[in-house]
Amino acid sequence: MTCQQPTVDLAKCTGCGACVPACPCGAIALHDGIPVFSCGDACLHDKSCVALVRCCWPCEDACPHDAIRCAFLIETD
Amino acid sequence: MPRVTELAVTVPALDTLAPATQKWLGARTETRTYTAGAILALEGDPPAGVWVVIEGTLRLRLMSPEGREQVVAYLSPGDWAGLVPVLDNEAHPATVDAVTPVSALWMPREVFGELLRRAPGVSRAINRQLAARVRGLTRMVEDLALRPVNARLARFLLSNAEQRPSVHRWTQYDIAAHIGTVRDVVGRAFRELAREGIVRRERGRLVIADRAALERMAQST
Repeated sequence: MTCQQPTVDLAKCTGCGACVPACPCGAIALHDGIPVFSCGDACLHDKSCVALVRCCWPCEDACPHDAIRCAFLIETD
Repeated sequence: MPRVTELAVTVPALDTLAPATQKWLGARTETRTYTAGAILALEGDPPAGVWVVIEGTLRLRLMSPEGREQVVAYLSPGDWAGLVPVLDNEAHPATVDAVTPVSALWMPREVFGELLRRAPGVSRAINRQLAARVRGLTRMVEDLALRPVNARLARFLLSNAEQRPSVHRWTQYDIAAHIGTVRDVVGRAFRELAREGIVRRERGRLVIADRAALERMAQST
């Protein structure tokens, strides 16, 4: 399954770092105050992988400045 | 010079043109390409011409001074953009931008006007398209004015899960702009729907797990 990395609106991002602890697999780090995502590397693409199961946009939800956007598909079971 | 006969495959209105009119049109129009995110016209711009989408998706959107967005319509191959300002000679009522890379036939306003005079079939096709848009806008007004946000979100999810097999990627921000709310509200609604087991939030996808429940929510007032 392909998955896109989240994107950051640098005009809104303040570098507060709220997104970093929100990620269930530690795939976010701040570099010079800007979040950098390594979701593709962190995700094992396996049903047991916490990234695959629990990465349901926690970084976007955690951001107090609406700076992170996660793109997703809308599907039915 | 675009080959109008080839464009007729994606632009049904052009397949009624006589060969001489196709040749005339081909000499006065051009195919333009736009990258995703490119702005074709800003709300308030004067009318200059129309575009016919060949490939990709255009979007008509409004934006408040505070930065809040409302999507008015998405335009796909065969759809015309810029019709309203050219037809009533007023400013663009909404911003037109490219959601994806777009290829479009650009037609200056005077060429468009002459085309309507030369080809009544094109006029009829455009009238049908405008009527469909008015119908769509009426449904949007009904949704925004008469339905709570959860019902609007449910209708949106049901509509977009059905339309295609998961090609388009959405963000919560996109959905908020589409249903007339803000991203926070969409995020809270998704979390609530997930808690109730109506949707599942997975990496890269939102899965509708209980369609019947979502359909009931879509009908709520």
